Amino acid sequence: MEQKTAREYIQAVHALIKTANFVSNAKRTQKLSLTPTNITTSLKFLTNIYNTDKNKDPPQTCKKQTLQDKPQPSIYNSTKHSSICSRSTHRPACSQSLSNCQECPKLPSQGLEEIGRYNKNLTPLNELKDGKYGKIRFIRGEHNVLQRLLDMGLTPGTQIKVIKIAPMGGPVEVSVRGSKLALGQDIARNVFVEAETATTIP
Amino acid sequence: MSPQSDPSNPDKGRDAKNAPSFTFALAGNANVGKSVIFNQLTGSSQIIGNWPGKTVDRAEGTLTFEGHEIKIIDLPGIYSFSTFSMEERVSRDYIALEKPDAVINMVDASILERNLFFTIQLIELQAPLVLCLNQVDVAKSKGMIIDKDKLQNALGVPVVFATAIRGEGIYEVIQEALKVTDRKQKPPTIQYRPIIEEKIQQLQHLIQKEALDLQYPSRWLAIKLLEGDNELTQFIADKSKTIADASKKIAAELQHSCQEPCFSLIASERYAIASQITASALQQSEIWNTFSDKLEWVTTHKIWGYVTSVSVIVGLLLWTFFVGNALSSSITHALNFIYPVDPALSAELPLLTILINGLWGGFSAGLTLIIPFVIPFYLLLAVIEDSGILTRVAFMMDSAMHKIGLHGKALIPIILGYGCSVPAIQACKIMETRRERLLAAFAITFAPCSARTLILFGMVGLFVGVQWALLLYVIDVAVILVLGRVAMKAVPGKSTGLIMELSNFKMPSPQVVLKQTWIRTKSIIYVVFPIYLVGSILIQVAYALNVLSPLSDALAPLTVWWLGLPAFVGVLLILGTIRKEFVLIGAVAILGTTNLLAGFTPVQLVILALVAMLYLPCVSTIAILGKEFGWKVAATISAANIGSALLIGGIMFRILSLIIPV
Ligand SMILES: Nc1nc2c(ncn2[C@@H]2O[C@H](COP(=O)(O)OP(=O)(O)OP(=O)(O)O)[C@@H](O)[C@H]2O)c(=O)[nH]1
Repeated sequence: MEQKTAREYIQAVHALIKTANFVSNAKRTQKLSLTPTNITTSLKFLTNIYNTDKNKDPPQTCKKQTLQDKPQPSIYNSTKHSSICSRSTHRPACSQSLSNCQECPKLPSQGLEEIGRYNKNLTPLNELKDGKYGKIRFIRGEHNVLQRLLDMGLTPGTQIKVIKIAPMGGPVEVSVRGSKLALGQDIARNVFVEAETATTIP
Repeated sequence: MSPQSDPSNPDKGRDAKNAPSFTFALAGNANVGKSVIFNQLTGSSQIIGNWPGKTVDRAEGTLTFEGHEIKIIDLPGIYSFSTFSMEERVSRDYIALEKPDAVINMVDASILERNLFFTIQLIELQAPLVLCLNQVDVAKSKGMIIDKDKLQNALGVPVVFATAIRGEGIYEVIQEALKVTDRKQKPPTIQYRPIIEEKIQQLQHLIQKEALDLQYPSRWLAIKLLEGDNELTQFIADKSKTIADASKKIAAELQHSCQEPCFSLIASERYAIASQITASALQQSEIWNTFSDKLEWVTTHKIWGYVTSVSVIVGLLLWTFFVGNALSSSITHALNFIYPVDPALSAELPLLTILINGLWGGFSAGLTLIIPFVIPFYLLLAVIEDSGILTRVAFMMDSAMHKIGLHGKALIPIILGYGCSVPAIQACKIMETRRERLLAAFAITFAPCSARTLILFGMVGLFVGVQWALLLYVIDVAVILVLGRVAMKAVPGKSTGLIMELSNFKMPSPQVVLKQTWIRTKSIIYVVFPIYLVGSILIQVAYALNVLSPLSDALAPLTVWWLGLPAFVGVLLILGTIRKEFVLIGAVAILGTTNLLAGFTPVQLVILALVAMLYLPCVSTIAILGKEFGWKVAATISAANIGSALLIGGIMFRILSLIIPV
């Protein structure tokens, strides 16, 4: 990797960090960096570039720490954002204004799609506690995965219950529409729900 | 005469004979009981088990019902008609294009809503439909009461209640199916909410106006095009540019006005309908903590879950050994009483002696070393399969499986591989991508199939000690992990995540378990046993005539020098590629006794078993690998097998010789 390009990346991320207003979540990112996934490839990519370059005069404010603390959605939204810019339609899933378009990092297109709408009060499924309910609001993933989830009944607005999360980064067992499903961590962390306090029976 | 040859005239059969013949298809979600009902109707022996995805290709059977000859097709279990998987495409094309006279939609009454999502799609496909509400017993035990009339009215499709496992409702299903074969009553149109409905109709009119000769119902096609179904979009693009462009435009409009991708909108809409129908027809009373809930708690507990998972895997082996061992020794006693195998070839009449010895040797080896282990093994495997625990093991082991580029579901075919690699490799179809199927199949070629288990227990367990047999298993698992990881790096692509339905726990049904065990044992007795006998005679003859020594000599550097085994083992290993059991049977034939210590030291038995376990999949496995993945893959996997067997065998020999002087 050429140093100049690497620095560009880092600067791009840095710009992002300043504009995005998501609450950072140490727990989530910790998990993120532990488990390599399709979806976190881009983040990894950046981390790697940074790591290989960190001895060669890194931009001062862009510490590795900051990069890791970056909550996942902002990166995604910006991915989405850049593709939206080129199509010049603006779906509400992206929380950034069009004026920030040029600051989107040019991440490789990952073929990710989104359904539902994101907002910053949502919790990823893998962070719900055992036995808790939520309403599905937003899912991100490859088209096939989204289609399969929809077929299994995880449509936006559906109530979902986390029955159990397997230890050691294992899958999440959920109950949805009367059936029980196991969703791998990589998938569960991209299913965002609005956590419900009342435990009504679905 | 098959009615499906002329789909335009389903009534054709009527005129030809008094009792026409029909084709009925069984369709529905995975794990709802299609194969149970199929077996009952046709007397076939499709695999039944409590995990989703057993039926991978469509199965056919016939039934004679009130004078009608009825062909029954068992379609693979699917959740939808999007064409991401082979199974979905097979089922969709079958129903849409081959137009069976009736489609029996098997529905799991205890998961009504999710099942109706698929029913709605069948209705859209204008299939002549009967809804068979199966597993009513399970639904009842979960406190669900379903109102048949309400369901019938809401869907506009005849509904039959059934408990397939007890044969209840099966007669009625066929009766109802016969009634819909005339296709007089079209399934009703299911209305979407106005904003979507308008777009569907707009596109549907266009399709109708173009009056193309399309096999698919126009409304269904319109919906699929809006969903952006790849295959159908392509199909239409080839036929009519007008429709292709229009559908793109209409879909974009819909997406814009709802601010949501069309495929999500339509799925949500179908589920909204399913949910509404369920709410009107289903009464749920609260039931707390059933027995199965408690079991679920244990099997997915953060400690007990792993304990159960490991006990399933190890327990199956231990059970096989201890029960098998007990059976084996009592049979050996009985046999020795009848006719002790005589190692000495008498000088007179050598041919006859060879024949008798070969025949008896093969027979007694089969009876004492194979059958006693196979039966208890298949019995417990059937119990495990039918109990529903497999999906829980897959759940618990998901993160471990990620280490070899797979997800938890892959453990299901691998555990089935304990039985036989061939169906296990076919079961790899439950994995989503070719890469994952390939990695899982690769792991299966190392998994201890029943033949390997026999070799381990028959050679090492019986004559050296069960702890050595278990040690070999541990080595095997280690090999799978290490090579699985290598394979993961070698095969390009990325892993997909786990999305799996968790099956309900239930008491395994004795009929299903016994039948399953019998089907598998039967194939050993009828098909494989004769091969043992013939093989055993041939080995003895060939050995007596000394035609095998060139072979043994050629392999001697490997077998004798590198692995420290007797030279004749070379022949056994070659024969073992036909069926792995031949390593054991052949050894008995050549030694002329079932007491293997007569010809091997304990260390040699351990090494031979280890090499036999790893060295090459049997021909049937290589054949299925070639069929599913191509010959290059089959050859590569075989080479990996041989390489690892020789490497580990040689190293083990040297280590063991140090520990236990030969
Ligand atoms: N309690 C109960 N169990 C049933 C009934 N029908 C089927 N089962 C069980 O449901 C499980 C699945 O049955 P299968 O017939 O193998 O399912 P399938 O629909 O063919 O599944 P796939 O081939 O995976 O699509 C088995 O464990 C059966 O014993 C029923 O009426 N009552």
